[in-house]
Formats: sequence, structure tokens, C-alpha cells
Amino acid sequence: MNKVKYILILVALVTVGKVTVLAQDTEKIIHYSEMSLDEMRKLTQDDLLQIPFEDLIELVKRFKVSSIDELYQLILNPSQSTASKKEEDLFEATLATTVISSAELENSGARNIPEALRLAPGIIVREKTNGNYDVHIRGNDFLPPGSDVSNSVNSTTLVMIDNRPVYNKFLGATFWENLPVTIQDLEKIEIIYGPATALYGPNAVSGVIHLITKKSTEEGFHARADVQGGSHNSAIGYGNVSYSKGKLGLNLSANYQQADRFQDSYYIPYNDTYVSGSEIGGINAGMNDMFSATGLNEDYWQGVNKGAINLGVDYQFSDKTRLNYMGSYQQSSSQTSYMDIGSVLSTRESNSFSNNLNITSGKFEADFSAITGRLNAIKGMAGYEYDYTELNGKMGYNFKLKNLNIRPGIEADYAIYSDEAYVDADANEGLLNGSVDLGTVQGSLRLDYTAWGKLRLTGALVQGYFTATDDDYTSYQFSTSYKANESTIFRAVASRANTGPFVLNTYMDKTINVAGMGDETQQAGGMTMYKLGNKDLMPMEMTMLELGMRKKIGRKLQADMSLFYNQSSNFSQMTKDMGLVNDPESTNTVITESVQNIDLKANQLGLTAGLKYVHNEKLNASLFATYQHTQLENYEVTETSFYEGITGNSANGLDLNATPAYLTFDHQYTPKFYGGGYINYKPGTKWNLNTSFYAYSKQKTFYSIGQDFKWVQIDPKFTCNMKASYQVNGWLNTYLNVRNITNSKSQEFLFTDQTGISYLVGCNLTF
Amino acid sequence: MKKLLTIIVLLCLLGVVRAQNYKFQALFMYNIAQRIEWPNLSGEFVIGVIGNKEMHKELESIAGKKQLFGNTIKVVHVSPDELSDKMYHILYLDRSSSTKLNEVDKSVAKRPTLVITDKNGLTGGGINFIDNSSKIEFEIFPTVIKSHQLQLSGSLLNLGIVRE
Repeated sequence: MNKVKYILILVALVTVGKVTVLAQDTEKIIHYSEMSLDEMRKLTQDDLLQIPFEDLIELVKRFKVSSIDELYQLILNPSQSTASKKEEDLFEATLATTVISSAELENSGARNIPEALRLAPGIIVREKTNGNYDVHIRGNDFLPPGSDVSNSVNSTTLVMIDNRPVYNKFLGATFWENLPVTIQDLEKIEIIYGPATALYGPNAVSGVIHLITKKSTEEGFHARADVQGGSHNSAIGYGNVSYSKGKLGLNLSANYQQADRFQDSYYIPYNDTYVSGSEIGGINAGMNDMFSATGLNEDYWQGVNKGAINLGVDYQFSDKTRLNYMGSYQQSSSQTSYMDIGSVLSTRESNSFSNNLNITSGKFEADFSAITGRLNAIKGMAGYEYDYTELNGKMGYNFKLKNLNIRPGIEADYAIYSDEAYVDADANEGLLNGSVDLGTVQGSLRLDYTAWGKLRLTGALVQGYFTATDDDYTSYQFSTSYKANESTIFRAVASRANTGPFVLNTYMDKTINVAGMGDETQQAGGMTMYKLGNKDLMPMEMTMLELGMRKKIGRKLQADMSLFYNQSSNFSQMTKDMGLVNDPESTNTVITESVQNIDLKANQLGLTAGLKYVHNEKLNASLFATYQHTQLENYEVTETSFYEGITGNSANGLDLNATPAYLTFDHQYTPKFYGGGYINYKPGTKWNLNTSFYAYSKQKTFYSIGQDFKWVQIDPKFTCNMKASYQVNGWLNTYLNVRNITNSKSQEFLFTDQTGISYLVGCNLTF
Repeated sequence: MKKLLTIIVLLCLLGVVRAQNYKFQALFMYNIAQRIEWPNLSGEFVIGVIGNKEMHKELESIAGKKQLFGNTIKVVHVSPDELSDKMYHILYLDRSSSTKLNEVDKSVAKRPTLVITDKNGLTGGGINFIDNSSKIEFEIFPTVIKSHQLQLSGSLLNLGIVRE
């Protein structure tokens, strides 16, 4: 009887519950005035046809206004995590920070990542040959001046893909063509300016460029292809297939780019002449017997030829725990400036296989990466090819005590470089002549405190150890911001950072034999030169002070300003070792040079200002510029020609060999002015028109040909680009992409090509 | 010279191609049609679209789901020179076809046809959409509409911007 009673009660409850639910369904009232933008977007035409006209008018108004608010947020104030290791709005960041969104990247028509960096303030981007770029944050480049072209590479900026450092530890530079990802792979680029070793480890000296890839989050299968082709045999292809279901996301992408140079000829600084491409192998071989004449002759017309494939796996274990993996293979060949071997341009080849794993679980974050590859820095020249393997791991834990965020972290990396497979190590043919390794271990602590909701104080300290040089290092980053009101924030930064030791300046072991003039049995008058690395070298270091302000001017305009002063020291260069004495029994001259720190200091004072404007969903624009002054001090001069060339004064009466002069002068190879901007106009659902521009002022440096001193000037340049795209239907978009539309044909980088106009026509298919 | 020409052509396009939000405009058109008294309405309710294919597509989608006063909705694409033979209850001119408004007016004079354009400030039609970044409004010309033997509901006049 009791059972029957319980069953009846249960049935009654279920019935009442069901009736209540049905009643609620029939009485369901949609409150349009309370709908979020996402909810409004999900309304179908059927839903909208049910809405009374009065409500529809209001709904459309709300939808349009909300869409614009979202647009303001996306363009003016996107979220970022690089500046403070946690996701927050750009406006709140205490460091100078820029975010380039995927829409800005694709609308701009930039063909590759370094070109896209022209969309960001504070970055000097110079095209060397078609598709190959030099990228420097705020300059301080080609130091010491007048040294070998290999010193013009940027070894002070940390570039990362999803927290994986991608700079090459041989020289400390990022070889952009070796990156496996391209524009279409990126969700955004986040850039922070100034020393940030305390956040990211060695090499974050002038700043960090963080490439953040797209993750497959949209349910189901999706595919995309983007191809464009045009002048200079340019061909750029991109393909992507992604699948996402529940917790799992898979993403397979491939990219390819090739372009010929703008010119076939080569500049030979030694002779101050241009020669045709077919002659260049012979000319270089004539100047250096390590060079094979056929090496360059094979592809002297080529600018860049590269391809890569990436596999991404995302797995969301729970709301708090997520894993991202990316495995990549890339192969590249590009003609770029690397070293003065007669011509300054030569072909660099590489291939590599990389793996990157990011794990986030609540407050815990960990990143592990491994890469193995081969790089030939100068194709056709023996001794510049090597294999390498690099490992990197870092972990951090974010926890909070009231208004104080605390983040302890540890990081370690290890790299092995070897040229054994490519040279006769016993005969000292190579640069390393064996296998060498570098390692770093560092621990860091970051504190982030907010008082009264307005004042924020952050401090990060790092203590690290370099295994190769057996040196400790310490660096710091203190920053503060004061939010005067909802539309104004002031900020200040004091920071110091250093590079790591690099393979070449630590382990170089190069021997150059120059035969004497005698017969085969008695080659009297020959020369042997040893070029050596230095394990006691102090890594280059920068200290910076910065003041900044961000200001929202109305809803549509945001201004960002940074006033910065930095001092860089611990530069190094090849220095003749005066301590070694030639063997008196030998008929050969023996010269030993090793990499040594020099007294040179670079002081830089500058101001970067940027404006971003969103007129409406159709029109937005960005404008930015930097004005800076870079001065060098303690530049040691022992040559008369250098003293007279730099100072303009006679060196008569000076014994510079015995008493070197230490000069102070402007470093003009970092331009005083550079900046750019873009205007993006989307008149309707079909067209998108984008114009971007970039300019820099004069650059000037000097160079030596033997003992002779020579000034080299690069003229100011204004480059304008345009991409016009048309959405034909739901899956096809076609576009015209013109780079350097005014065909401003001149050199942008020391001794490299006169870069000109490129036309491309392309289409993008999305399924 | 070629570069200059490319720039000029692209800049001209900037002026010609303007924002459209056909999804909402089509819904507005359906709602407007409901608030008008149409004389001798029987058989099909015919909407002619001059110009834009997107609008045609949106209206066809509505026609597949809804009727007007018990009549099925038929959406056809027409050009201004073929208006004289057939009856259209609504004629929609997209922005690029607005220069043909006079020609359209002559063809449908005295017929019970509502001419709707996508350009504010035009005179001659019954309704002009004003589609900007923050809302969609419409100018309404009661005198013109009445001259086509159509009766407007008071609520429609309250929702639009009345022009005389």
C-alpha cells in the first residue's frame, strides 16, 4: 500500500513538474532589451519574423550599437597576456604593449610575419631582399658600428610562438623565414617593449614579439585555402583543415612562399660596384677560397623559398585544464645579408622539426618545447653549416593573496650545436669543429599588487645561471600604473635585461690559412689567423626607464604614448689578442683574434606615440610614430682614417695605436624617425579596402674596406601598400594585393637590394 | 600611370559601394507591408527587386516562411524597363539603382505599388531606408503612398520619419 502511495506521489510530482515546465514554455517571454550580443547573433530569421515591428526596430538598434561597442573593444582595447603573464585588457598593461589582431594582419595584405610588424609602433622593419626582412625593436642595431655585417642581426629581441622561443642560439638572431607559422595561422601578435628577461628569460632585451596561433574551437570540420601570385614569380599558398568535437580540437595547416629578388645584380662593397648575378660566385670565390663559385650561381635570382606544415592538437580536459600541442616541420631557403664575403647577400638554408606543448591547469602553467634542425648560414661556403637541438621548459604558478598576485616560475633551456657532419673538424675547417652546448637555468618571482583599484605595482626579479660560461645573472623589471580615471592611465617602468651567451661568441674556433708567396716547399710569408670565442664574455645588457600614458578620447579614439630612455652595454667584437707572440721559428705570421667585450655604450632617448580610431564598423584607422635619438659613447678608435672620418678632424699628432681615442657621436644607423599606420574601410558585406603605410628617416653608418673608412647612407623611404578584397559569396573571397604601391625603389638595409613594387592577385576559400 | 589609375579606380569604388544590411531591411519590408492596406489583394503578393541579389535572397527566404494577408509572397528580380506589363505590390531599388527612380515612378504611376529605396533624401518613392551604423530608420512619404491608392496605418507613420 505504501509503495502505491509513493508511486502516486511521484507521478503527481512529475505531472506537476511537467505542467509547470510546459506552462513556462508557453509563457516564455523573450526580453530583447536584456539580450547579449551573442544571444542576438543567434536569433534566426524565423525568430526575427515573430518579433513585433516596434521591438524589431529596437532590437536592430541594440544589435548595431552592441556590435560597435564590441568592435571598439576588439580594435582599441584587445586582451593580451604577454605584458603581465595573465589575460587582461591592453589598456591595463603596465608595460608598453601592442596587439595586432588576426583581422588587422589579414586585412593588411602583409605577405609574411616580419612585414606585418610594420603595423606596430616602435618597430623598425627593413626589407633586405624580396620577402626577407630585418626587424629591430627601437633600433640600437648594427653595434658596434663599422664592424662586420653579421653584427647587424637582431640578437636582442625574444620572438616566441605560443611561448616557444624561436631565436637561433648560434648568433642569437631570429631568422624569420625559419618560422613554421605564417600570417593566416595567427590569432594575434602581442609585442612588449623594453627589457623583459625577468618575465621571459635571456634575449628579451629590447622586447618580446609573441606570435599566438589560432586554436580550433569551432565545432565540426572546417577548411580554408588562400593562394596568391604575382610579380617577381611570387607565389604564396596557405591551407588549413580543422576539426573540433567536444573537448578535442585538431588543426592541420601548411604554408608555402616563394619570390624572386627585385634585381639580379649584387653590390660588392669592397669595389663599390654592382655585378651581375651570374658573376657573383666567381667574385666571392676569388676573395675567399672557402667559397664555392657554384654555390651562389645556382640561385642568385631567388629571394625566398619556404614551406612548412603544422599539426595542432588542443584538448580541454576540464574547465580548468587544457593542453595545446603543436608539431611543425619547416624548410626554407632565402637570400639575405649575413656576412661580408665579397657580396653581402648569400643564401641561407634550413630545415627543422619542432614540438611545443602548453599546459594550463587552474593557476599552474607549463610550456615545453624541443626543436632539432639543420642550418646552412652561407650556402656554398664551407664551415657555416650545422645541426642543432634545443630544449626549453618553463613552469609558473599564479596565486592570489587579496590584492596581491604572486607568480613564482622556473625556466631552463639547453642547446647542442654541431658542425661535425659538415667539416673536417680535425683540420679545423669549421667555425666550431665539434659539438658544443649551452644551457640556462633561472628562477623568477613576479609580484603584482593593486591598491584602491587605481594604483598598481608590479615587480619581477630573476636569478639565472649560464652553464656554458659558468656565470650568474640577475635582472629585474619594476612597473607601476595609476588609473586617474576610467579613460586615463599613467605608467612607469624600470627594467634591466641581458642576452644569453651565444654559440658563436662563446665557442668559435675558426682557423684561416693564407698561403705564402714562396714555392711549394717553402711558403714563406704565409699567414694563419685564429678567430676564437670567449667563455668569459659578459652578455650584452640594457637598462631602461620608461614613462607612458594611455588615454581614451571619447569612445572612438585611443592614444598611447611612451617616453623611453635606455642604455646598452657589454657589446663585443673580434679583437686582436695582443698577449700572444708569434713563434719566432715560424715563417708564418700568426694572428689570434677573440671576441672581447668593449667599452662601447649606446644611450637612447625616444618617444613613441600612437592613435587608434574606430569610426564605425566600416572604418577604422591607426597612426603611430617614434622619434628617438641614439648616441654612442666610448667607441674605441685606433685607426687614423676612422678617427678622421667620424670626427671630421685631423688625427695629426695623435698616436691612436698607443692611445686609442674614445669617441662620442650620434648612431645614425638607427633612424631618428619611423612610423606608419593604416586605414581599413569595409563599405558593406562585400568589399574590404585597406591601405597601410610605413616610413623611416635617413640612416647612416660607416664601413671599412681594409684600413679605409667609408660612410654609407640609406635614404628616407615611404612605403604604401593596398589590399582590396571582394567577398564573392559565402566561401570565396578574391583580392588584389599591392605592396610598395608607389614603387619607391631604394635600399632599406645596408648593402642589400633596392626593394620595389609587388603586385599579387589572390583568392581565399573558406568551408 | 598604371598605379595612379589603380588608386583612382579603387577610390571611386569607395564612394559607390555603401553599407547594406539586407537581412534587417528585408524584415523591415515585410513588417511595413503588413501595416499597409492593399486594394484588391488576391493571388500573389509580388515584390520586385531592382538591383541587389542579396536582398532578393533574403526576401525569398521570408517568402518561403510567411504569407501576407493570406497571399503567398513572390519575389522577382526586375529591371526598370520591364515594369509596364506586370503588377508589383512592392518595388525595391537598391542604392546603385536609385538614379532610375524617375523611370520607375513613371512606369508604376497610379498603380497600387509601394516604391522603397535604399537611399535617404530621395523624392518620388514611398519609403527610403536610412541604414547607418547605429540603427535602421525609414523616411515615409504619405502623400506619395496615398497617390498609389495605398492606405497607411497610423502605427507605421509613428515608426517612420514622416516627410511631406
